[in-house]
Amino acid sequence: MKKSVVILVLASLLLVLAAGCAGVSKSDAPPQEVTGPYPMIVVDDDGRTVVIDTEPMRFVSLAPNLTEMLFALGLGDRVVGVSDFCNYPLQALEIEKIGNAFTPNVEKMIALAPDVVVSPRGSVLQEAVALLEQNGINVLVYDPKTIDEIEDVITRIAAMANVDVNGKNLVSGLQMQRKEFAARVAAAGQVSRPSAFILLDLDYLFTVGDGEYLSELIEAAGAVNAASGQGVGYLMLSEEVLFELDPDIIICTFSMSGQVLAKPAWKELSAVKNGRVFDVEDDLVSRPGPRVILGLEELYRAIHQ
Amino acid sequence: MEIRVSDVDFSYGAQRVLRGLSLHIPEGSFTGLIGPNGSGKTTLLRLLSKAAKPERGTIFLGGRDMAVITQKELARQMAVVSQDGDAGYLFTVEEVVTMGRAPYLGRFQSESARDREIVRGALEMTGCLHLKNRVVAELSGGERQRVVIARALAQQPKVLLLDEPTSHLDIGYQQEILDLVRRLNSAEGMTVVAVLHDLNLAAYYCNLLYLLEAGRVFAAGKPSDVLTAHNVGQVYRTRVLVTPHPVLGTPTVSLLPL
Amino acid sequence: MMKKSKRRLFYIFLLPALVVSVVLATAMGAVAVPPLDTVRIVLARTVFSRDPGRLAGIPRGTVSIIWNLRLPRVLLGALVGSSLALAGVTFQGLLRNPLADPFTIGVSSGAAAGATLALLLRQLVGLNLPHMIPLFAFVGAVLAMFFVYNLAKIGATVPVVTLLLSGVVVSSFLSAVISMTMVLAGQNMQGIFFWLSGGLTMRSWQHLWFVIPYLVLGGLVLYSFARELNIMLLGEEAAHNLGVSVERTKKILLVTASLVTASAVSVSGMIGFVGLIIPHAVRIVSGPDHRVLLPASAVVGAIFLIWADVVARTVMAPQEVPVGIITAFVGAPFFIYLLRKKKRDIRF
Repeated sequence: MKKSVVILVLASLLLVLAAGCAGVSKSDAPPQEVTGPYPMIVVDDDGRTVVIDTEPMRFVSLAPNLTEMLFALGLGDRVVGVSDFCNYPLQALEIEKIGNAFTPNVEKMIALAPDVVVSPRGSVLQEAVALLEQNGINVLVYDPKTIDEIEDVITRIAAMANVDVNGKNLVSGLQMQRKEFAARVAAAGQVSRPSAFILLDLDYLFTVGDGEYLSELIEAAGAVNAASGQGVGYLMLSEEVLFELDPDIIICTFSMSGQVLAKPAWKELSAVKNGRVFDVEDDLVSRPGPRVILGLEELYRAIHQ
Repeated sequence: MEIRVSDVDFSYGAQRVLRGLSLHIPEGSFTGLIGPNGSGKTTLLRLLSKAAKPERGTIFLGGRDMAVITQKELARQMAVVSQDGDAGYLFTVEEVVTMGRAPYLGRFQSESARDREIVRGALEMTGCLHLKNRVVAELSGGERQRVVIARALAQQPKVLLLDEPTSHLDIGYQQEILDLVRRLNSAEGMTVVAVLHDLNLAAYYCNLLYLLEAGRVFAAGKPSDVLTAHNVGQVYRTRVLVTPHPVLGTPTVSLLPL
Repeated sequence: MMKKSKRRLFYIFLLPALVVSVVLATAMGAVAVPPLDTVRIVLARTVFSRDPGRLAGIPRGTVSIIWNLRLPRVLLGALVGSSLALAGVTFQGLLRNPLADPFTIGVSSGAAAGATLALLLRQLVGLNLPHMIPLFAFVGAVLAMFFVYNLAKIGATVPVVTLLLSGVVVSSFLSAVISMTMVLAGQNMQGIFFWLSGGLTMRSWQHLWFVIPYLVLGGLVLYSFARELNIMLLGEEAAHNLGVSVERTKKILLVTASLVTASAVSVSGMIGFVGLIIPHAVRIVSGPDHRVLLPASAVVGAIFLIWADVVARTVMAPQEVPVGIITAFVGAPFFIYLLRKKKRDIRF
């Protein structure tokens, strides 16, 4: 075949393709009159810009804290799918489970035909996001790491779902509770704040360093995170560091206090000697959500006992 | 020490290898087991060393039923020299030969001066004394085989079993090894049973031959009686010529074109 | 035949090296403790029977660190290292396979699976008998070993390739079993991680008693079979012809090595590569005679793990790295080196 003919055919193919692409990118529908908040442009915590065309009536939540937020905003009826770990409020247990936060079942999610999927960061893979979007499902990442961010996310979700009033009420309620709580902590009149070590596991010495939700909570509840300064994020510390820090209180996020107190090697620790080893309910302190005050209360109780 | 095999059967799975085999190995003889592959010679040797048990029949060692002799006791009467000389590559010659004393030692017993003397004797007899501190991996094929024989001698056996001890060696080594064995047989009175596939070597060294075919004794007796053109031709399915060796006089088998 | 000179080497160099390692390792860790204080604390607690005056000037926390945390941990590392090295020597000798060790042939995984099942039972049913964990680990180890051995056997021998393949397959399967068991027991990922990567952290004096009796008993049994192990290197038929009851010996040794492995794994999870590389390293100096190889490997294994653990707890201080990761970093390159050597070079 002559070279020139080949080039000609290829060139025309390219032209056709280019024209086709250009054609598709333009919207063919006539411009609509904009009434109400939709279509809405939303930016999620991953920086992705998503267009919500109409008020979302079917939600899937991939994280317990986001589920709690949806219910607290009065959107419980609209939730059609939750993760395996979503256990609050009780109604959430009745809702269809779509897998755990690490490997959610994408097929099931698609089958539920939600309008919006809310997810924590790193939960849904890029490929899955593309697949969901192809099926007309919007994926929004919300990953609050501080108490302020909780309020911010609540506000944004409320706006996205067209329940701004609920959002405002919830946030102002939270802010009031925070103020009351902070006053109480100050009034407890402790000149020097006690140091608290957060114990997450007993096979390895797992704790939380700086920059995590849990470390902020413990500070807000009136204690100093004993592991502050040892590193950022979740830490696997050498046992002897615990002895060097010798915290006033040990807070266990699982019911381990009995085992901690019984450990023969730890008898010399101040916290163990003074019996200041407490369990807190993991659900309350590890979910950046509307029950944050309860989490603070849990910690407060442990600190000021 | 004499060996008597009485009406022995043996199979590998469904394959019958030995059928009603009987033979007698007189004390002090140099007996050769010959026959084509699959005739059962190696199997027979394994039964003689109790590496396997006959399904039927009995084997008597020095008049005693071998079934009642323990492995350790057997190792004090009988030594086996196999063909692959898996002699323990990283050990020294002396260490390997000393393992031949194991059948005489209790679990927590160390080798005594007497044991060391016996080992030295075995090394001398096999001409390995100058090699004693060498690592086995460094030796030649012939040297390694001599070490195996030395180890067998350290067991102070009354019976020596050899399984094609020279098939992988050069002619020179073959002669060396078999000469050594013959010396042990005539000087020490050791009963020797050797599986050989080289008929001429068998003819020269052995004073008693058993020619096996399909698990039975086809012919037995002096080499000159067993190694006939008819017998060899029949069992090995070929044509041969048997002539007396020009110098030694023993029967020599030569191939003829088919 | 145990050469007098080799024996002398053992006593002059290895045993003191072990003692020195214990002392030095106790002085090192995430928290800086002046070496003199370390010595004072150990002496005060052992020799001077807790006379408080001897510890004047040393903060209480430091005493706790040295006596309650570091010293037992270092000693445990020594015991576990010994156990794994002894098991490695035995498996390599018995299977005539230079790549055999408790980890590669699936025995460690079996032990870990048994141990996690024991934990699960404790959790679900409340069953808690003394020494339950090491004993369950032992059963798991023996079952795994039995399975791998029979899977890999071709006729009368156990070739390198099939042994490794079977070991990998069984180990992978058992790792999944371990993970599943931990999930069922309500453990988070950390628990699973511990069993799979091994660790000497959060262990104290009581854990030593889960290893000591098995190591002493097992070690004695293995040593008493040293001559048989030597002879078995000649091949099973040759060993048979030298009067060794091959099958009986194999069973006793495999079971004993599994027991020793199991007790170590039940306390510290799966620490790999110790049983693999220590026998080889020691054999280069000591030669193949198990009467020297066994005790020497036990001591070198102890020293090796003590130092691996020092690295584990200091390299990323204040954080810790599971010690199995350190041994893998050292051991894996050595393993590759072994695989690449021509087979005839590493035949015994």
